[in-house]
Amino acid sequence: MFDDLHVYTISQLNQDIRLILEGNFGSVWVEGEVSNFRVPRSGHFYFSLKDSQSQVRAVMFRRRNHALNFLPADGDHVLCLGRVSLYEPRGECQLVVESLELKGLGGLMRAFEQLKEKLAAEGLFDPELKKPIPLLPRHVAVITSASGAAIRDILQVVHRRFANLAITVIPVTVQGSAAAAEIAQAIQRCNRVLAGQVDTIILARGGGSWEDLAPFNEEIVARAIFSSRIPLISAVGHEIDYTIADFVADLRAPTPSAAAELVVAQREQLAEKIQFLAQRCHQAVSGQLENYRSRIRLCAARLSRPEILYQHRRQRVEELSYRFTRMMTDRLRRLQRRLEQASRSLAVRTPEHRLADCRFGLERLSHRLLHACRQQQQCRRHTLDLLAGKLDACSPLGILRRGYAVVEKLPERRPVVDAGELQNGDRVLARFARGRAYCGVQEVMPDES
Amino acid sequence: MAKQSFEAALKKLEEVVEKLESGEVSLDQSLKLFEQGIGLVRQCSQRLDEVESKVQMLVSDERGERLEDFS
Repeated sequence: MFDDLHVYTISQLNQDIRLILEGNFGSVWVEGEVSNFRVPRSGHFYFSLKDSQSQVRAVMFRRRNHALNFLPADGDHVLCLGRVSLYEPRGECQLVVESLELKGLGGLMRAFEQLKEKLAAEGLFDPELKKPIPLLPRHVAVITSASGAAIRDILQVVHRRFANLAITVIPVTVQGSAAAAEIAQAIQRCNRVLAGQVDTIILARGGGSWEDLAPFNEEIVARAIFSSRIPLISAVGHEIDYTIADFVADLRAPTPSAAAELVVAQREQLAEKIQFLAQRCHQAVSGQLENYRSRIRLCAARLSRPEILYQHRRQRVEELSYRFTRMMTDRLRRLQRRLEQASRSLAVRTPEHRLADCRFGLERLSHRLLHACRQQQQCRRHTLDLLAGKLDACSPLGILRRGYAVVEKLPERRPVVDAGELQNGDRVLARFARGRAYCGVQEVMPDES
Repeated sequence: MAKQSFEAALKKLEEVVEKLESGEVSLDQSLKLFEQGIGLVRQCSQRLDEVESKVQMLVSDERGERLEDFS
């Protein structure tokens, strides 16, 4: 019985398990969270997928992960399509991932940011590389859904403004997994089939959720826009939505209607500008002609009255003759004045005149002599009066007149100059300026010095 | 005048007007410039109007690529 036993080698066991696993499962969709994500030098992705209870190993080979527009990270919620297999050397069950996409908004945002960074680094957003939108677009290709709101909005604007504009719609799906490839193809087709006709492309889509706009965030669309030789205006979603397509496009319009306005308004402005230039052209020439005309009129007017030509000469002659006569009369008058002066000074110098002069001098001198004598006399009298006054001031009578009295001791009538000479009971005589009085001494107060 | 792009014609027109307005050209020259300017105005205006207003759709199927009226 034991001979019938089939004993596996490990390698054989693992190989059989692998074949059973691969045969039974085929391709499966698995959703879970990424953990232990790493990329060795080989470039393959190694990671685990887990949910709250279990986990499974996963590998995504380089040739597959190359197409991914983002780099997964631990914690990412992903949806994978893969084959269940066994890694024989270790006997570990693993999922060989063929495609992988991020689930949830956070993942999409990160994919968006990563792609944006990558394309920016490659220069796809370079302002220098942007193609100018023609001043006057004549034929616009609109790449959008043939039944969507975007094309309706654009056509409405164009019709309302009566714009002469050829429009070719290139219908595409603008939503879902096939949309990005279709849009990229449409841009390439337009460049191939309508080259030389279409001069502007509008890539448009009405508003939608972030996921709805996802095709416009795909690398394939970005590269198609960048490679387009025809300038492209992006008009995706609402004003607040920015997609990768907007960054690569040569011009970004906030909405499809705005893109149409942009193309149409340009035309109207140009028509106005041309009108204005034509007006300036007329004005400049008519201004110049008017200027010439008025100069000619002026010359003609002067030619029709020849007297104007010699009028100023006549004026000059008149002026000169006036100045000449005036100069001559002035000169005569000056000579006459000199003659009069000379005859006057001649008359002054006759002998009678001189005699009268001498007599007058003599009279003046005698007058002065008399005056001098009189003055001398007056001067002396004055001196005499002065001396008499002084003499008068020295006389004792003068002193008495000023209120002083002279006291004489009796009987000898000696003037008293010191009270010490007197004794009580002495009799004295006081003499005043007018009259005298006999007085008795009552008390003597000699100076104590 | 050789057919030139709209942008070139417009630029030329602007130059003509500026030269005319500068007043530094002779009468003969200015009349010539005026004629040229009016020609350019006509040319530019025509370019603005000449485009036929029509809406088509690029269809591609087994018969290849072709244009059909868009409704």
